[in-house]
Amino acid sequence: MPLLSLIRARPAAAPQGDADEAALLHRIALGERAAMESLYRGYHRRLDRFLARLTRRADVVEEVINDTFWIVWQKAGEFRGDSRVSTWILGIAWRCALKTLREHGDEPTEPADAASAADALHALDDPHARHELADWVAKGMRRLTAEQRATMELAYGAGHSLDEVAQIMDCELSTVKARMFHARAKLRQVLPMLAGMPAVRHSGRAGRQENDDEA
Amino acid sequence: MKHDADDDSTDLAWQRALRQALAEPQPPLTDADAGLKRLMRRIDQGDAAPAMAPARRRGHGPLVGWLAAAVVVEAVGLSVLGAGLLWRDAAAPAYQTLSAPAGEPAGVALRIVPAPALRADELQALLRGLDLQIVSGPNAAGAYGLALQARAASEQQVAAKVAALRAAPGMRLVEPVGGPR
Repeated sequence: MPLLSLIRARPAAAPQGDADEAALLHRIALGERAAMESLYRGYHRRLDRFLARLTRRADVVEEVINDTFWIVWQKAGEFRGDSRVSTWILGIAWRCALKTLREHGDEPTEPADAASAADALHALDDPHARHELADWVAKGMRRLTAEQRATMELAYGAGHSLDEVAQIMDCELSTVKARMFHARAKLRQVLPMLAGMPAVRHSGRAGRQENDDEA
Repeated sequence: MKHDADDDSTDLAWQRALRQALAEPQPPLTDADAGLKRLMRRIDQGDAAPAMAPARRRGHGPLVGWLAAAVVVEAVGLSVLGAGLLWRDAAAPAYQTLSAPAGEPAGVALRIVPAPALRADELQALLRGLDLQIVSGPNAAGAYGLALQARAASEQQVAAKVAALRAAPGMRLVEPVGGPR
């Protein structure tokens, strides 16, 4: 029996309201640097995190963030509010990332260390151990294609709806679902022991709802 | 049936655990302040040059024509930037890129790049209010050279005009022309 689809209630994290961000874009279109700085600071962490799923090279991450905001500076006047500002900016970042990653070539993937993961799982009440597990999961993510990693980070890590992920990555919703399906299948092979992990029930994130989507 | 339900429950727990692990906070790879500084420097420099990125993103259309246009635009931009490097005064700010092209009229005290959204009548009113007049431009980078209407402008006067223009909306770049005048 397929899993029931559960609708996500948690919107993607937004440090500023969408209207505020749209107002910032308007000011940026008029050439206001203070608005640019404000938008940059509001998005740096999110973009850093998103791009760090695609490459571990800090110089490449910085290059893509720089390219992204450079385009935002040039194109702010073209934002018409057809999507959320965050969707628009992340879409730019994704396109910049694809281009830059193509130029830099593939990075070697690290083998997932099952023993380390098992150790981390046994001490999940310890925040340090949870970080360790997150690192281990990050290594597992590096076995995925860039498209799969971006999809998983946007949907699971950043909490975007699948429709938003499709907009950001400029693809069909069915493609997003297929990428998630295959990503999970691959991750399941390297992270089988995540099932039954006790910490998920008392880690403070219990309020989050799942969007187990392609059921 | 029970077996299926167990499988589903295990799968759901696994997905939940995966989501949790993926949502864990991560230390940033890059420094926001350093990145912002580099971005602002790029904006300072880039405002003086025609943007290549938009050109690259245009439709495929008549590809050869666009490529030729892009090459011409790039060549003009590089010429302007190259001239800027040659003409740059040692005291001028490191980010100044709108240097005087050859043959610029004497008396140019400062250069501006207005935002595209600024209407011509708004620009005229702004300059009139500051006793400034356009004596050159726009060049390939969209920059105008301005002169003060007073014949002998002191550095303080130029600095005051620069400050007033920078405070005005719709200015992308305002820079004094380096060197005594």
